[in-house]
Order: sequence, then structure tokens, then C-alpha cells
Amino acid sequence: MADALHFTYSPGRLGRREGAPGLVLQELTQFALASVIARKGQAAQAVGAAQRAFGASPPTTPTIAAGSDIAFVWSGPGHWLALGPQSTESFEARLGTVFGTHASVFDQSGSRVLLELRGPRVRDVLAKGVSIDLHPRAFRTGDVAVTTASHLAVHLWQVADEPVYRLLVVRTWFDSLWRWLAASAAEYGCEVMAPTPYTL
Amino acid sequence: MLLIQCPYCGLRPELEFAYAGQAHVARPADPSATTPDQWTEFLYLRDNTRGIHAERWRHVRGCARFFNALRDTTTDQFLATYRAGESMPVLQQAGQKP
Ligand SMILES: [Zn+2]
Repeated sequence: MADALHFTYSPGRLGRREGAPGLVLQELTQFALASVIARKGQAAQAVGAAQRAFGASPPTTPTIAAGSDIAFVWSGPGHWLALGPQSTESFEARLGTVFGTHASVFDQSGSRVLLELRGPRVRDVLAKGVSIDLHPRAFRTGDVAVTTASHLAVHLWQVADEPVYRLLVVRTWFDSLWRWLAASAAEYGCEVMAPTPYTL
Repeated sequence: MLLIQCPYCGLRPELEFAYAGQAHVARPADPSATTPDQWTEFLYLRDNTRGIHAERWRHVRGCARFFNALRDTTTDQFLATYRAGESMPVLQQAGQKP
């Protein structure tokens, strides 16, 4: 039993070895991240400014909206996380120029680990530590939840009907999250893929 | 598991929420004209309702927002939740959703 709690995080197979893995896990790297918080009474203007500049309207319900090279993850009313591929240009400055006085922008790049989870048992694995209903009648592609996974605050959203989920967790909590995830996925078999650069 | 309707996030498990005291307790508008008894009332004295109670809740492990709820303290049933700043919904009949 002790082994189940000490899986190293590295590419390869862990847990059950027979058959296809129940969970396929891949870290997405090289993304820029910023929080965008609308100033008092300015949420509609902030949404409008982003819509004009990025072709993505920061959502007013718990969903994700993606433009050509930026995605807005709902984080609360008038509060979003902006995600985009890493570039030499400052993400914060780019967002700050667009939002102006309508919203406060803070760079959060490097503060989180972004995981992509898929596989036939992905819902069963998540059900062991995520208490919200992920059944397709309650949570669909494009839906976002600010919730907890194994008591750790996370952003969770669905990117495909398969289903495929993305989970964003504070970097220093990743070790705790990984222990839970590895132990939860072991009975179904888990394939950890090599990290890959983030795409929308 | 008890589910609570966050006005922003939808139905979520109770463990994501924190109770935050009685709702609609207004701070005295003119502090200099407020008597010590009125301050005591505002700061310390709360209803101890048996039945429908208006109270503040916070979706602390979700969107982190405060909101208000009408809850029956005898059954722990949430009859309505509404955003902070909105007026208390009128219940059609005790024990029924408005
Ligand atoms: Zn909420």
C-alpha cells in the first residue's frame, strides 16, 4: 500500500499494467497566465474591450471563452484567468493595454501547473476528490468550475466531449494533488505523457 | 450531500461554503448619532430564529463571493439564495420555493 502513495511524477505507466490506461495525464507547459479583475461597475466595459481586441468575450457564467490566441477562464463575477501561449511579449502588458482602467491585470505566469486529463475512467478518478457533478447533463465542454480537488483549490474545465478536462492548480500544491491523483488512478492504470507546450 | 445554489456558480456541495452570520444587518448610517445601546444591537445581538432565517453565506471554496440565503433552521432546507444587495425574496408559503 505504501507504494501507491509514492508514485514519482515522471512519464510512464503507473498502477494497473493490463489493458489501456483508465487515465491519461499530460502536463501543458509554456503558457502565460494572468488574473483579470474588473473594477467596480466596469465588468461590461472590460468584456467589451476584450471582445474587440481578442475576439473572445470574457464569460459572465462559469465557462471558458477562447479567441485566436487567448482564453478567458471564468473565476468569479467580473474575475477571469487569461491563458495564452508563452511569448517574448509581456502577457500582462498586452492585457493591461486592452483593459485600461476597466480591469486590474496581474501576471500569474509560473504560479500554476496545468494538467490535461482524459481516458475512459477519467470521471471515476476525479470523482474520488472532486465533489461537483461531472456527469454530462450537469457539466459539459466549455464549462468551468472553481472548486476543490482533494481539498485543494483548483480551476477545472472540460475541453472535449470525450471527455477531456483541464485542471489548473497552484504549483506548490501540485505534489499533494499528484499523490491523490496517482493513488486514485492506480486501480485503473495511469499513463503519464511527456509534457507538451500549451495550446488553446 | 447537501447542495447549495450559489447565485454565481450553481448547485455546489455544502463543503464548499461557509456560514457568515445573519443577513440584512445594516450598519448605523450616522455613527456619531448612534447610542451605545444601538451599537450593541448592531455588533452583538442577533435573531435566534426557529424557522426561516435570512443569513449570509460565502462560497469560499468556489467563486469566493458572499450571498444571502433563506434557510429553515428546523429542517436545514435552503428555500432561496440571492445575491448580496438584492432584496429578500418573498416566499409564497413556508417551506416552498418562491
Ligand atoms: Zn460560487
